[in-house]
Amino acid sequence: MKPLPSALIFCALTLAAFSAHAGPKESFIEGNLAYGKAEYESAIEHFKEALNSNHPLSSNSHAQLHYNLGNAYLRNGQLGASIASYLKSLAQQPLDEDLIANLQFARSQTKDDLVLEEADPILKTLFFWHFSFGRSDALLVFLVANAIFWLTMGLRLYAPINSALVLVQRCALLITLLVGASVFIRWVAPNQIAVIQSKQANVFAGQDAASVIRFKLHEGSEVSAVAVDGNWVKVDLPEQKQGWIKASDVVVVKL
Amino acid sequence: MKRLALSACSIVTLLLCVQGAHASSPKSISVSADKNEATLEDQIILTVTIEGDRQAFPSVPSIPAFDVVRRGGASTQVQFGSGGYRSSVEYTFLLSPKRIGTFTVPSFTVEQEGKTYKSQPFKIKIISPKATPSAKRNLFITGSVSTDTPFVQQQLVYTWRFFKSNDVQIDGRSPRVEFPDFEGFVAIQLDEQREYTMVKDGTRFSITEMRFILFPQEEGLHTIGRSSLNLDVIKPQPSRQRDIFGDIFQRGQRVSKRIISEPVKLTIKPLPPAPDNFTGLVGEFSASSSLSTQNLASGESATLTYKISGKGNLDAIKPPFPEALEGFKIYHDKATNQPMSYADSLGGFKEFRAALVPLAPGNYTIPPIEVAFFNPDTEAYETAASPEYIINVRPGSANEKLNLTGSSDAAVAKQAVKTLGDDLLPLDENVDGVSVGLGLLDNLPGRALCFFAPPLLFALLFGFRRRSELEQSDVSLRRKRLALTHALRNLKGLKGNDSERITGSATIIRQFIGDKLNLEGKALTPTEATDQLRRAQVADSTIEKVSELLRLSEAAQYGMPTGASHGGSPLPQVHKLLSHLDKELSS
Repeated sequence: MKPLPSALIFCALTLAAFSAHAGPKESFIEGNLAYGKAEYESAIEHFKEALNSNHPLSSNSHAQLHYNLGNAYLRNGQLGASIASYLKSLAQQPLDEDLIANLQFARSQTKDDLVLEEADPILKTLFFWHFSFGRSDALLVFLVANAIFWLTMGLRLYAPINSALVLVQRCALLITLLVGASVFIRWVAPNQIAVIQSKQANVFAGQDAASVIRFKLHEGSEVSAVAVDGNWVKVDLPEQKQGWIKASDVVVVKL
Repeated sequence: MKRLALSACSIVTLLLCVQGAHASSPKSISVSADKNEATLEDQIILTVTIEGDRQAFPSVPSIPAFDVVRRGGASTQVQFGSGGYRSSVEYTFLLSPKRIGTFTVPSFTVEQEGKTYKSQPFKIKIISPKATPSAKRNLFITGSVSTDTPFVQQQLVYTWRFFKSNDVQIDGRSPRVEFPDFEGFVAIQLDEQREYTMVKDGTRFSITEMRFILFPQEEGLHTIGRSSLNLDVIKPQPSRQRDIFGDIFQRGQRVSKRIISEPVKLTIKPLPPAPDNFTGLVGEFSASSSLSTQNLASGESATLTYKISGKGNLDAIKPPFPEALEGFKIYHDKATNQPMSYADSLGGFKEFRAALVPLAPGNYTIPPIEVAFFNPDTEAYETAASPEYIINVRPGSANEKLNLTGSSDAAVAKQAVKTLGDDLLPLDENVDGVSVGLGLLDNLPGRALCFFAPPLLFALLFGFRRRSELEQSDVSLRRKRLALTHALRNLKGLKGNDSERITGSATIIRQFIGDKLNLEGKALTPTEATDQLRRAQVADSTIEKVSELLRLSEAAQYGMPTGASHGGSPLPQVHKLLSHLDKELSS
């Protein structure tokens, strides 16, 4: 084989490989274009491709992609998948107003009259960092505060102690402890929401399809997931009603 | 005893054989159905067989066209043949069809030793139940409506009945009923479940009846879907098949059965063009009112009560008060809503109260209220009206100053902002927002590194600081720590011939020993150096080498032959000796 054709074939193969593995930005743009053309299935594929790309995405990018994916799912008639995507986005950006509006819009289309119990508003105000910070944001704040605390400790070894340094150090320690507790709670006992994906899902009394069907839930309904055990998810409904649901019928989202 | 031991050995050997053969058994999963064509009322028995593992449980795929319920426990089988031993486990599932058509039962899967085994998918055809005349059936359910051509919002009664012939026995615990989902209707249960008997076509039936009131929401053709009932029928066994305890423990054989009702088709008619004051009320309604007093002083209050009652969609009743009443200030009270169930309909009344406070003396007229509703019986709009009242207002005893702004101007009546439409907010199109992260915080090791790095850095700084403080308070520590560094640096700077180098090396060694032992090293004689090193418990061989170097140095100093020229440059040996000595003095 002559050198020139070989080089051309090599370039073509490289370009083909590159285009086959488009980066998250390219997939994001293609997803948005497909959405604009009402090709929602194609949009869903592109957004998923962006999320599953080999490039590690920032937490904000994850939230942004899940938001768009939720829109595409909803337009495509997949209410359950849409709400699950919105919740994944909400875990990173709990205060995003557009996201909250679209999540409420999606929730308004669910059949079941279920409302997840929300934390007390007083608790939400008192422990605002726990309820208002996204998972990644809380982790970042915790690590930065931790670093500042130890750096100020190091500075105190060599620099004369002054009141500003002491104040910074105490603030950093306080933030480390408070936000650290929030991060720890989310890590050890995360708030898990099971979103129904099938049109209708049975909630059984036990981990057995032959056991009594206690309730029937419909697509998009959100219930608290107490435990995940293999192919079954234990769910908690309001008024202390519990049951088991097939894992294939739900998507569990950690908030 | 000997026989017992032999038997035990045989069982153990058999078990070992079984255990040994288990691993070599072929693994597979297969699914079979007792029928490939069934009606909506049939139940299909699926048997899932897993070969090669008696503990495995299959992963059941989603089959939307059927309700899938597992029946009974697992059934394990062991077969011995010439080829060895084979084990298998069987599970049984009941499939209850939900709709007519041909459906694929996807693969059941099982995972064993990291491999996934799949069964062959197959098709099942579901057809409509055979049109058996109800006279010949002893178990059936029906769904019927009071009218199949209602108007939008006109209430109609959906009656669900379960007919059971008296010669059929069912397990009273087993019935599981699924009512239609009444899509397109607002459904309210009318009354409690009723049970009665009746004779139909010469057969006496026990009937369970439930009734729902439906309010159609949209015009057009609608179908109320089928309802289904799963139950266990007990078939009596012939007396010859019963054992002695049959009468007590065996009532008969239980057979699972599923029965369904026919769908009900309705044509929902639109309402004719409505008058302006029509608020959506459909049914039959009347209006009444009362006034607590018609003679009062200015500033006093009278209670006006409007009551709208009847049968129909009460929720559509709106507050009938005029938004403003000339000469009065109106204080509205909370409305009372009292729904009621009648024999074949829902209704009740809504009561609205308001306190009227006249603002000035005079005679005032309270106009009647008019409530427009559509009467499905007459298929026309009708109006229910309350009587008119005349109120005589006397001058007040005190010249009370009243707030006239509240009711004097009816032109600025407020109205609720209605949501005309709702939709999703648009996509996030900020491409720059999609960025590649550091990746450090995306995994546990990275997070642990970020968490532990600052305290480790602090520990390092603290260590340096502490050493620095100690060395400042005790100079010998610094001399000791830097002894080797200084010695090697000085050694590297040595120049001249061999004699000069040996002399210089000896000085460096003395200095090194002095630094290490906190002595004035330069003045050490070979004997003193040897003594000091012995006290520091340095090995004799090392002391011998140091002593030899110092001796050579003294010889070179006084011009005596050193013999070092035969061995080449002494510096590498001195370097080695210093390193060795440093280790021994530091230990």
